[in-house]
Amino acid sequence: MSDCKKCQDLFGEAFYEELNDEQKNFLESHIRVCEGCESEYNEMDSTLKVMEKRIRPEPEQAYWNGYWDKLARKMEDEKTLTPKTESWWRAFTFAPKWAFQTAAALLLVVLGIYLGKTIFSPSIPGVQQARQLPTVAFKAEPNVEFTQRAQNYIERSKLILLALINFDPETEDSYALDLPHQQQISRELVSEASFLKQGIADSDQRRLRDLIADLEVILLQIANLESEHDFEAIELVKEGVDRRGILLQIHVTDFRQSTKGKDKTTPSPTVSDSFLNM
Amino acid sequence: MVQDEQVLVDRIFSGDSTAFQEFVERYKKKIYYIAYDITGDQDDAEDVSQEVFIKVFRSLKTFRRNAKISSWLYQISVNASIDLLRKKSSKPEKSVDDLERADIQENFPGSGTRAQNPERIAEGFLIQKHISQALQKVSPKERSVFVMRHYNELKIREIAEILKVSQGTVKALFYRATRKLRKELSFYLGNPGLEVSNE
Repeated sequence: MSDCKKCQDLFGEAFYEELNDEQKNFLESHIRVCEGCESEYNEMDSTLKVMEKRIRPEPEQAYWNGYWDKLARKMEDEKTLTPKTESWWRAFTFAPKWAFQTAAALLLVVLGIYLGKTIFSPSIPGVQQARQLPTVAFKAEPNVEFTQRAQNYIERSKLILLALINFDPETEDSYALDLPHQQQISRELVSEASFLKQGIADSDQRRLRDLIADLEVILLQIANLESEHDFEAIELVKEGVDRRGILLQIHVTDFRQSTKGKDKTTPSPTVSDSFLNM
Repeated sequence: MVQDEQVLVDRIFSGDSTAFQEFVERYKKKIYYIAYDITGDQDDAEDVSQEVFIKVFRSLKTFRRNAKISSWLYQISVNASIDLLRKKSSKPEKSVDDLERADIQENFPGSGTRAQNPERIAEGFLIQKHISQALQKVSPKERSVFVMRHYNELKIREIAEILKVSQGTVKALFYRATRKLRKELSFYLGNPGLEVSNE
């Protein structure tokens, strides 16, 4: 770095007397011998002095006195501070992390019991007849389940990608992205991708397998991001999504599925099969 | 101050109902002025400052306790102000005539007292107008850096933390902003009659 560049680099601190002795000596000795830097320094100093003439209009004291009341009213309007919800909101806001984890675990257990009872319990003939499900649906059940998992995987991945792509660090604060949550879901989806790839053995399902693999790479990158402030890494992930045309692939998949679905007069399992055979 | 801030944050998170109000009281003026410096409009500054506190309250659960809450607050303020400018950029800005018709007495209390010379008042108003216009000609990001440094006394390190950029970038943005202001206000810089002292 040239002495002039070094000198100009110090201007921002010099005008506010924040240089240490060594920096101050360097700056003073340099502008004594460099006319260009001396002139630059003096002109910038004069500019800042003109800018100090600026007067910021001061709101009246009544404005400041009523500031909190006005804010509290706005918060109430948004139903964030109403008496009924305050305790709930406060509990939600300040609850420790383990409380959320316990609640999530309980929810999963309840969901598991419910699914186990309704889907995997031994079927009773009378009940089956009452449900009047077509026999073909039972025959195709493994495919249907796999298809739903694949669809679910693609849909959830799409949401993660859209959240990241639409995130603009210049206009939104990085906390709005809620990266830890997105990373948690990405990790879950990466595990799911391994299962799905194993389930696709046929070569005629190449497109679906490629899409799942592409998504897996991107999700892995998201899961490994160091922080929501690592804008360069986030940009790289966005570029990866763009380069691989992933969103386009998802749209094509959706489109194929919807058009093939319309062609059929009966619903699944034929629709599911067509999706799997892409 | 940093310790005080941490105590206040701990109180907010422990559920102390008065702590958030204290937090607002402590930072309301700073946030208002940053918003005013960036937007250049009192009404916008009022809206932005209130919106910032609402956003902070809503997002408290995402705040990492080891981070500096004031930096987070400034970051939200700068982003909200720039965002507002972007939204307004499609609408026509106030013309110079509008500014001239603005109520000087309201904006600059005391400037219209009878004891003062009307010519001096007009000259003062003109300088204010030119400075405001010059500031609005600087890009929002450069302006944010300049006003945080020059009017809100934040250090380069703090600004870098708020904007999540390097200190070198902050220095460069400040330098560019000052150069642009110099160009816009060159008339005053070459005018020996203008008082530019720090009095």
